Amino acid sequence: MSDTLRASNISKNFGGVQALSDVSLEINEGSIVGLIGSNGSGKTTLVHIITGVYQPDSGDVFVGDTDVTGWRTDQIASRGVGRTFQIARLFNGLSVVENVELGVMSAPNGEDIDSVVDQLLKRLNIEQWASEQASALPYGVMRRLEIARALGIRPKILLLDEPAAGLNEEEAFELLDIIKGISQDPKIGCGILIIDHNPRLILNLCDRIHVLDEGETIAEGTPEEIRHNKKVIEAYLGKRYAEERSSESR
Amino acid sequence: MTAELFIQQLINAISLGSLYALLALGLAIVYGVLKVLNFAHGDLVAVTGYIMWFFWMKYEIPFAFAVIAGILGATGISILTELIAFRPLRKASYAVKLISSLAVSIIIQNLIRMFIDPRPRGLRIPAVFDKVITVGSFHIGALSIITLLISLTAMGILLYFLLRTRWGLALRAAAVDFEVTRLVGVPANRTISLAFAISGLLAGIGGALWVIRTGGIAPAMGLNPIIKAFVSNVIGGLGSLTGAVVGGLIFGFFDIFFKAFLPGGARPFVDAFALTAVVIILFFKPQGIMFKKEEKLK
Amino acid sequence: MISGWSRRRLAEALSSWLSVIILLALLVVAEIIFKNKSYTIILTNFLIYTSMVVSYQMFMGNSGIVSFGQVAFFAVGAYTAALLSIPSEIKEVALPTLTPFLQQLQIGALGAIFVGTLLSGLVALVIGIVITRMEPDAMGIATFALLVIVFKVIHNWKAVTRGGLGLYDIPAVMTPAYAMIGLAVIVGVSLLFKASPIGLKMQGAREDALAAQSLGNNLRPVTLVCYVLSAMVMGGGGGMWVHSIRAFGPGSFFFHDVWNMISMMVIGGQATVTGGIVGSGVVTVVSEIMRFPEKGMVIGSIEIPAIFGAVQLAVALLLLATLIIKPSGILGSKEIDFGIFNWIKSLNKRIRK
Repeated sequence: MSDTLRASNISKNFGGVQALSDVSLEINEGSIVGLIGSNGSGKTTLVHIITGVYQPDSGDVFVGDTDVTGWRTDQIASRGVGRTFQIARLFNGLSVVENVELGVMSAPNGEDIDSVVDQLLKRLNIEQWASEQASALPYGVMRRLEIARALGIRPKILLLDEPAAGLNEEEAFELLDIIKGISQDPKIGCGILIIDHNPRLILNLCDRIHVLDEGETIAEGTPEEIRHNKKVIEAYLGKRYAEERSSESR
Repeated sequence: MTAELFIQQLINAISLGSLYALLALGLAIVYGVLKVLNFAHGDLVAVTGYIMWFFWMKYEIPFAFAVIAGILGATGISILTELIAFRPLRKASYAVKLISSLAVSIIIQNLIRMFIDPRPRGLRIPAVFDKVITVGSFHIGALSIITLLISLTAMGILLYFLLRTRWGLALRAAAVDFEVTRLVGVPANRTISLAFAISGLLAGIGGALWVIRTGGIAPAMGLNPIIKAFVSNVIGGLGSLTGAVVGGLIFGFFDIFFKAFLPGGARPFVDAFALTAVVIILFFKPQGIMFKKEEKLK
Repeated sequence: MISGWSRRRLAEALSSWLSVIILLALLVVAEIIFKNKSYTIILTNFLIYTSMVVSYQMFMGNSGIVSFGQVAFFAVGAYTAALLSIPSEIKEVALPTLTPFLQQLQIGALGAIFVGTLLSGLVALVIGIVITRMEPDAMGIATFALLVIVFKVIHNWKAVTRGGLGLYDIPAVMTPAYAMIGLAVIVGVSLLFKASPIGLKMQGAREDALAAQSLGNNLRPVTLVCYVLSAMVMGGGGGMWVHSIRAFGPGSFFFHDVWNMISMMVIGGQATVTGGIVGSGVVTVVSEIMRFPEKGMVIGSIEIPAIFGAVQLAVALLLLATLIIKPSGILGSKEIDFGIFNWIKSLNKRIRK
């Protein structure tokens, strides 16, 4: 019934570098989970493993009751896991509409394709770019297009890899509003995972936050808990800052 | 099938294979920096042949000099094609680069047809290449030995260059990640020109050996060499220099042994068999022999 | 509403198709009116060559895989159709060792072309299952290997093909009008494929394979369907071709034609179906013009010697220029479209007033 995504005890080694050690993560439908950590901490690798781009050395991935460990990327996507990429991977030679169509066509359910596409464009505020080629778009529109396309497959779980990267403050917050709207929309109601660098964005948006550092989970909890977690502050912002903050809160 | 016949054929196979390997290597060097197979590489063999013909047959300059002239000409033309056709297209997609290399190939062929001669011509090959050396009960053609020696020497020098010189290092780095190599300060244009120069050099040497082997030149003679080089690279694994050599040797083996062992009626189908064998290899090792079926983030 | 199809894309495809039909019809009507013999020959060649290009574009344009071997299916379709169409009496003389069943079998041109199409598809299915497992580069080589293999088989299976001598006396039923109908069918199929869900999936795979997979698309069956359909259309084109030239041989199917096809497709625009038509037209015109210097000509009292390679050189330079200046080709990414539906809509509005 519920399509919770559950990655358990994931470990992955790349030619001597331990990218992930025993990482577990859970995303429920309707919730927003944040995944933060410094560069190289393994966030994107985890998403690649969940979506079948890489195979884990150990551990497994479940979508609901289905064990999808070892499945191909397209099989996992068909099971309801959608994603966007750290650097947007759009279909550059195709138009905005065609990009979204590809998402929608992959999960047809009898509805008129064209109107579903139009709705998605509206939701992500990009309908004015409809017939433009994907390669000719402003950066912010590109990122939103990627999300619109991923939504087309009617995902139960949506993995967003740094969706706000490169956007200015205003665009980033607009995007996060849209994401919040998606999560709260009963018609979609997918579970969302957001990877991002900016702690403020994550702390404001997410129900739960998961912190990675050098391939290991160093903290997990609500935004409040994470905000005051010394290990997180240390790893993320440096020891001195951690000491300043702990002297502040006295 | 006596042991002697087998060993003789083996030597022939290694010799032919080393020639293919040489041609394949030239192709692989350019592939390393541009990530595309250069169709015009085969026509550098034609360029070499025609220059050799002019020096040796028309102006009666000693054969060795004719060969050197041919090799230098191939190198020069190779650099020229990079300047004219590949530099403007550096940012283009794979298919565009491939097709433009095809266009360059056709242009070279037709320039030869236009300004020299559309008909094939023969070359008188110096007698030394026809000699047969007898060792015990083995008869080995001088041509086979010379081909093998020259190919090995060329590959050896290339290996030294790649492993022990700064520019060789730059080329190897560029083959792994061109953008990063540029970021650390290696000049892009010069690196690519160098790659084409080396490629032309190898094509010239291979071309000279090819012309000596076949004794003739024709405008479209580059088709056969490019097929051999192409296929050798794909069997061995695109992006791997060792793969190019391995692929060349394997393809050389196929050609010689299918020709030697196929029953008479099937002889005309040698190429078909060799290519079918290639397809079978590709079925099991789609990325070539040197590469595992790895997870590749495309 | 067929599940998964976009009405918008279908409407666009239909509009393009009608535009193409109008264009072709005009060319053919001109032929009927003016009855110029060389125009007829050039037109028929153009129409059939264009079928080849459009079929080729169907695979390469949508998948982005440079396949050198599609021409092999043209050959399969050509030989199959010829064998089934040549009168039995001729076959008994020309192909004495052919099995009597095939010697006696003679079905009409249409049937012969149809069977050729099916056989091409079958061969493509078998080969496609093998090669769609490969990386794009390996696949290009494998299809080229296929071409060489088919070429060698044709050359040497003399009992069936008469080897290098070729086949002759095929009923010459292919008039420009029929060629036009054949091309219209091929263009229609190609446009339909491009507008279909599976066609779009193929294009997505071409643009970014990983992104396509992340949307749930399994690329292998998609590529296979594209390959087989393209091969079938190629085979149909081959069948049509033999009925316009009466005699042919294996020399027609090798590298030169692959080269011509690629040039036409790229110059016209490899992303579009109708680009093949434009490219074919441009290359045909350029070739016809350059045929004069190639043969050598006499202008007044000046004799210009034959310049060998003029035709190919001109086309190659044109191709290179296209790639450097406008790699997306003359049409870019927009199909020929005279906006017929919009025209009808505005007509309707004016009538209502």
